[in-house]
Amino acid sequence: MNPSCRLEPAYIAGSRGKLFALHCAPVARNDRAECVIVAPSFAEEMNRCRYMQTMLAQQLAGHGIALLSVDPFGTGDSQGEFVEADWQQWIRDIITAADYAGQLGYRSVTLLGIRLGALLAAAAAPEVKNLRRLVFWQPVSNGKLALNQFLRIKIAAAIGRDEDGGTTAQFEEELNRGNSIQVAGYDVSPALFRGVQAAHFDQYLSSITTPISWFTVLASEERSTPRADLKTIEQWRSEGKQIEHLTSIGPAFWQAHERTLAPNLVNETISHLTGVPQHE
Amino acid sequence: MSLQSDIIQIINDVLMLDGQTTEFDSDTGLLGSIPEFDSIAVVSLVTALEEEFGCAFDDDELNADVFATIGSLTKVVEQKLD
Repeated sequence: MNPSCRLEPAYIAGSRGKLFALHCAPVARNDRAECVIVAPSFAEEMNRCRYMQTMLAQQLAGHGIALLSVDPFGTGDSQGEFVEADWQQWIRDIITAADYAGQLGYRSVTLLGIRLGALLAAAAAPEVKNLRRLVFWQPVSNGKLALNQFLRIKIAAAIGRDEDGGTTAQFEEELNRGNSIQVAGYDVSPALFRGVQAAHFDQYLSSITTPISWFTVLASEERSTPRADLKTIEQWRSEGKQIEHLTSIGPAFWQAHERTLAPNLVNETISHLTGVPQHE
Repeated sequence: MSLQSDIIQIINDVLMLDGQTTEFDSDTGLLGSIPEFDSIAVVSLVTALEEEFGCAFDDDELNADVFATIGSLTKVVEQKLD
C-alpha cells in the first residue's frame, strides 16, 4: 500500500442495514481536506471497476485528498441481498456516505460517478452537503438503455448452449408480473428494474448546481465520443450548466474480464481535481 | 478502411486484445475461439457496433451463427447498413 494512504474500513448505519465503508485517508491531511466519494457502477461492472478505484485512492492520498467508497445496500460487503436492493435505496446510501464523510471531518466533497453510478451521483447531488463538484467516468446517461444492455447479457450467456436465451421483452414481462430475474448471477427485482429504467440525466439535471466534469474513455485516438453523449453535453451547456468534457485514452476497464487499469484516466482526473499536472 | 477492418479494430478495442487482431481475417473464429469473448464481451461488442454504425441488433441476432467468425459478423452488420 502507498505510504501516503491509510485504509480505514468500517461498517456504517444505512437506512436499511449496515453498509461497508472503505475510507482511504491521506496521512498528510489538513483542515480543508477534500473527500472523493464513489458512486459505483452496476452489478458485475462494480467489481470490475474496483482496481481503478484503488489506484485513484492511492494517488489522491499523495495530494492530501481522501477517497470514500461505500457499498450500496445489497452489494459488495454491505448488508442485504442484491434482490432486496432498489434504486431509491442506493441514492439514500450515497447520501449516507456523504454524511459519513462529514463526520470524518471533510468539508469538501466530490462525487465520482462511475458508469451507472453517474446517475446515482446526479440523483443524490442535491442532498449532499458541501458538494464541490460531480465527476463522471464514462457515464451512463440513460438507465433504460443500460438495462437493455444488461438484459442482453442473459441472452448472450445462452449462446452456444442448447437453450433458448429468451428476449429482453420476455424478461420485462416476467418482471412486470412481479418476479425477479437472474442475469449473470445477479437477481434483479422488479423494483430495482423499474428504478433503474426510469433513471435519466434529464430527470436530475435541473437540481444540479455544481460544476460537472465528464470523462469519456476512448480505446484509441481513432475512436470518438458517442454522438448521444455529445448531444447530452451540448444540451446541458445550452441550459447554462457548467460542464467540462474531457477525453482519456485507455481500455474499457469497466468491461474487462481481467484486472485492467486506465492510468491516464486516473492521472487526468487528479490533474483536474488538483490543478497539478500528473506524469506517469 | 473496409467495414471488416473497422469491425476488427472494434473487436481489438472492446476485447482489449492489444493488437493480436492484426492477423485476423474473415475466417477468424470468435465465439468459442477467443477466450475473452464471454457473454459480457458479446454485449459490449454489440453496443460498440451499434454506437459506431448507428444500427440496432435484434435480440434474436445474438446467436452463435452471427458471432461464429469475423466474416459472419461483418455480413450481418453489412446488411444493416444497406
